[in-house]
Amino acid sequence: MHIEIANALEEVATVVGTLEVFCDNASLEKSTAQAAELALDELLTNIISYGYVDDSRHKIVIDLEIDSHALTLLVSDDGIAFNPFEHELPCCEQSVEQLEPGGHGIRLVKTLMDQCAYQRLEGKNIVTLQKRLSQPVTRR
Amino acid sequence: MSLNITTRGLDGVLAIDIEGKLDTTTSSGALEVLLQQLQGDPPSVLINLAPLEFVSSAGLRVILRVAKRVRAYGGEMKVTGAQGVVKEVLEISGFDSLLSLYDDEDQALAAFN
Repeated sequence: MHIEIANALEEVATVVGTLEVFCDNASLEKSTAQAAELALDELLTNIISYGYVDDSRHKIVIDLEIDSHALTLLVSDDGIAFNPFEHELPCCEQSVEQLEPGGHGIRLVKTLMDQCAYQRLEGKNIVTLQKRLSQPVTRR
Repeated sequence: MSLNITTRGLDGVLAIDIEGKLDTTTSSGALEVLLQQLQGDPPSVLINLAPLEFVSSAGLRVILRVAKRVRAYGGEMKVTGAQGVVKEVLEISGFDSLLSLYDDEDQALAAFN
């Protein structure tokens, strides 16, 4: 499934809802679907919130693919070059007061998805996220 | 409605039930509602996540803001009922060891000083 959205936060819920239906139609396990929905929410929110240095409208492209082994999400944007997976993640806070609000999104993506890959190609950030399927897909 | 917040009074404890999805879209409205509920500075707050289906890092920020707000006013906050992906997200983010998490409401209520 091919989806194109504008760089607006209100688009995130729509895309995540589309992914939810896509997973439901493929009868994916709830835990697999929720992990993918969360990863997509985090990634798109990061891109839209921090990926652009102008106020122009930009296009973000999302491709959802599924085969017998895995659910794959490809997200492409023309924002500033940024590899979300090469940055150190916050950890080891000792108290609620020390617990910082930022940085948890990418940690969630890396932990919940089985593969996370990034490449910069022709001025675009291209992120590929993959979640292995624990049971065969049965299309409805 | 993708998020619903309701409150209950339980023997001096303010119980807040969060139902639905606490994500990028719903988090800012949720924070506003929750901070409104905390006006009057209740010393004991129980956040019930049992009806919550989904929480993103934006939702975690809301829970964190509420926890800091309660502590800043000398209160005590406990979290109960997290399950499935919500519990997993709390664990991955390290919130499970820093917030007081309980499996059920009775345990959490018994733990208030």
